[in-house]
Amino acid sequence: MSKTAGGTRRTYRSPLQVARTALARGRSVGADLEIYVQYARTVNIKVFSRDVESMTVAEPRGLGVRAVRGGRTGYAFTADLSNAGVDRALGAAADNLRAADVDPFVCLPEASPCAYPDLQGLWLPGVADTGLAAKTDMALTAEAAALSIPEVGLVEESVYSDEEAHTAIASTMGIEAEAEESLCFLYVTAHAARGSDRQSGLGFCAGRGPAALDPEQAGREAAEKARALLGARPCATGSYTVVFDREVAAALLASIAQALSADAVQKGRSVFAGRLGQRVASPLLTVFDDGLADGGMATNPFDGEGVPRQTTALFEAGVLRSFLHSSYTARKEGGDTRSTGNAVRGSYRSVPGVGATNLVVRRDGGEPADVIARVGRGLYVDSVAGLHSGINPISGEISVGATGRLIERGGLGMPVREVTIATDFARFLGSVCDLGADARWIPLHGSVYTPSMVVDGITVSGA
Amino acid sequence: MEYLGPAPEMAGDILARALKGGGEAADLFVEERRSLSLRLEDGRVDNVVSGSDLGASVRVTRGLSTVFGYVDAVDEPALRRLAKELSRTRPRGPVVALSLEERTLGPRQTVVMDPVLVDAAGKADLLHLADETARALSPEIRQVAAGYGESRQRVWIAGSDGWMTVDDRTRVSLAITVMAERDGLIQTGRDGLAHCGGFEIFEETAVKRLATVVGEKALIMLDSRPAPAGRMTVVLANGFGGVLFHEACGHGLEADYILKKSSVWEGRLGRRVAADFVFAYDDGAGAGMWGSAGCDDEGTPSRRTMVIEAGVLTGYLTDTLRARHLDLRPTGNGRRQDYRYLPYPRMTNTYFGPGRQTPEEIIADTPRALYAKSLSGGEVNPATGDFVFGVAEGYLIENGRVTTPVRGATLIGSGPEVLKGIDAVADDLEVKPGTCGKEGQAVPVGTGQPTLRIRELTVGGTSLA
Repeated sequence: MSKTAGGTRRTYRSPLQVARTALARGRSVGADLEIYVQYARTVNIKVFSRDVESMTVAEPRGLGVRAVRGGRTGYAFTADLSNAGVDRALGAAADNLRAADVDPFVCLPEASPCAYPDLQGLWLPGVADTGLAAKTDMALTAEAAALSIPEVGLVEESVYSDEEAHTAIASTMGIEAEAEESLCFLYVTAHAARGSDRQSGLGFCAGRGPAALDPEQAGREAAEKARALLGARPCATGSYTVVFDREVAAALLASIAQALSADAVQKGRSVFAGRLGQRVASPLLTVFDDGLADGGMATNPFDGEGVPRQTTALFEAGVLRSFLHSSYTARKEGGDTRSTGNAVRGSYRSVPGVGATNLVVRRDGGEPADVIARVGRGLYVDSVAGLHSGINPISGEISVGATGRLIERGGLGMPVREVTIATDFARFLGSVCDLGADARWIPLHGSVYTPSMVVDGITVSGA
Repeated sequence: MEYLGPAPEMAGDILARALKGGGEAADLFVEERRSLSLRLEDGRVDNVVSGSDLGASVRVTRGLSTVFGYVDAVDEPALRRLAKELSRTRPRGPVVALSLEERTLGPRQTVVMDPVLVDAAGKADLLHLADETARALSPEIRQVAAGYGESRQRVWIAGSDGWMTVDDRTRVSLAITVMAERDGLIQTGRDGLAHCGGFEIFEETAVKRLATVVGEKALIMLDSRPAPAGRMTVVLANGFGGVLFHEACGHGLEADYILKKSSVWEGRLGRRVAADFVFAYDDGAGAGMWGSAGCDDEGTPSRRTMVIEAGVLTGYLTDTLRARHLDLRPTGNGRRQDYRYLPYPRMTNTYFGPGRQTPEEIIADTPRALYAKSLSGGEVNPATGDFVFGVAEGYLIENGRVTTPVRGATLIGSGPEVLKGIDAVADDLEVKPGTCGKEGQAVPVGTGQPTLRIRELTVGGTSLA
């Protein structure tokens, strides 16, 4: 542990040095090697009832080895960065590849001829320079803000969380990449009660440093959301025009993006297979995967295997333009297909997969006016539940629980809970009939920048 | 007993140091985990991943407030430094010497065939067998993804109230997903075989049977119609249906929510919550069950807790911290993903107890319903009790017979209402393996039930009848 409280930074071997050393030690393994090293410092402070419920301060670190030989891949990870620990991981990766089958497209990416993009502001000193007491205060402030709202008697949790991560990749193909980033989050779950009725709401904010957080706003947001649902009941079963709040739109888009991974397409796991160049969405939808986006939480100079990140058009005016590629899927695709810098990995513990970075919905012009007023009648959905079980990214079916408000005479009416909304990827994308002017960055696994979306013909199952 | 890392006699010293800052209780969690996974897709084993984790954490609590830290190491100096660091977050107090006694647990886990002794090629063969079996069913089967996983987790845990214990957990799993396609319609089937134990469950016939069941599931769903929308009777099949208890009730019984009064089940102990033929359990000691262990991750011996007895709510699920504040006995539910995480009250293996009817009798007695044969998981809001779960394989029941397959349904309801709506329970209890996520931590759980019927539930399909 370092002296985190005062923000004193301990000197250590940089991740790139660790990766280079591992690469040198791995010469005898007799395979192409990629070493991924991550060091992090994390703080998590949860407050409840105006006191610290838990405080965790940690410095996780670890290394992953990908070994490739003769079309076979093996992988091993360890948190033991001693020479002995690294040697064991190198040996295990080489052993593991023997159990894999040959795939002619398996490869490690070549070093890019271009320099990595010079992205500013991914690491800000605020996370390290802010003491634990000040971080605790932010969580307490958010809790107090929520409790100041009438009918809010309980804040289940108010959590401040941050991370500084220092990542490096080095490979026998000549890749050497290193980046530092900082992230911090604050989220609050508030409960509002009226009689025996109780409802909860979530508020959050995120940024690269504590200065970007607005704890009062997050607390009020949680409280207002909970309060708006008081008295909620199921609405009538039927077909509705639904206004998806940007947080919900973001979650649905992130699920749909799983089917835009070339790996899913090549392995028959995607409803978008064979649809390149075709209209698959409403002409209102233009969506990019932007690994370099200013303000995106997933922004990084390079992807999970050291390929430069880039901006890739997915839908342009509803036409499917591209899938997301790693070096493996690009090689398998053949022709002049190149990796789009979309190799993603959760941590040093996992093999790179293929996925979205920052999804950006572009809205050109249009009416800034309130979409709810324009819709007139329908359902406004502000949260969904059961995304994991209710969205099948392979078949494209969507059926999830929802809460929100009825839209009546152009305004928000009766609060609604215990209903489901059901559609599928194609119908959802094809039926987007309006976009709001309220785009915001939503941190999910990557992040999504989207306005609220209006979609026609959604089946709502309720009373 | 075999200990990892620091000598056991040092543990008391480390805990005493951690408590120096005025903490009331402290514990030490030392863990070694070795894991291996193989994945097959497109007929090829494309990923073979092994990992080793070795680390320890120290937790210090005072009142309801906890400070926690961990190190990716288990040597004594590293743990002493960690303990000292944590004690500094609070004002200093005296060091009080501690001595620890060994706490012995029940019977040790049985591992007939240690997976480490099976070579990787044998594990790859298992995946190929699953792939070939499923593909042989029909040309409409377009893709098979299969994953094998094994882990051996050894832990030793010491608490400042004067005890220590060790546990050794071996788990193996095989999961298969099959995709079938006809005229652009893609459907999937998914199931697995997993237990707390060794490689012995992967007999050739068992793997073939599993692959066949999963493949047939995907093929049947190609004939499905969109699920109906609206309120109707639901019959939940045994096994997978256990997600119902987990979401509709189990999470709300976890003592962290109870203590914060943020659960809809708070204050309902001793009250009637279901019909008198409904019994429910959390069973961390169930032999071989996926969520079982010798003790929980705070060292409390695993046990079976009856949470609903003859329709009356009889228990909450708690760790030691919440037990102290709620004046409950710890139930062996203090669990964590690994040493990097704080323990929370978590379910182990939960299930409804068996009733007297057969599933056939229940179906025959049902004029019209949705029959949810397998579920794909769910989610609950413990504050309101509102839950959802996805139906992976569903059918209609018409005039007492299972008829048309239906796809794309989510069920939604309120926990307390749905429990009251259970009007029939069969005798075919089965517990299935699953993964539960809470506080950003994934832990293995078992979810089970016999076939049961719920009078009315909202079915979220797309078809407006």
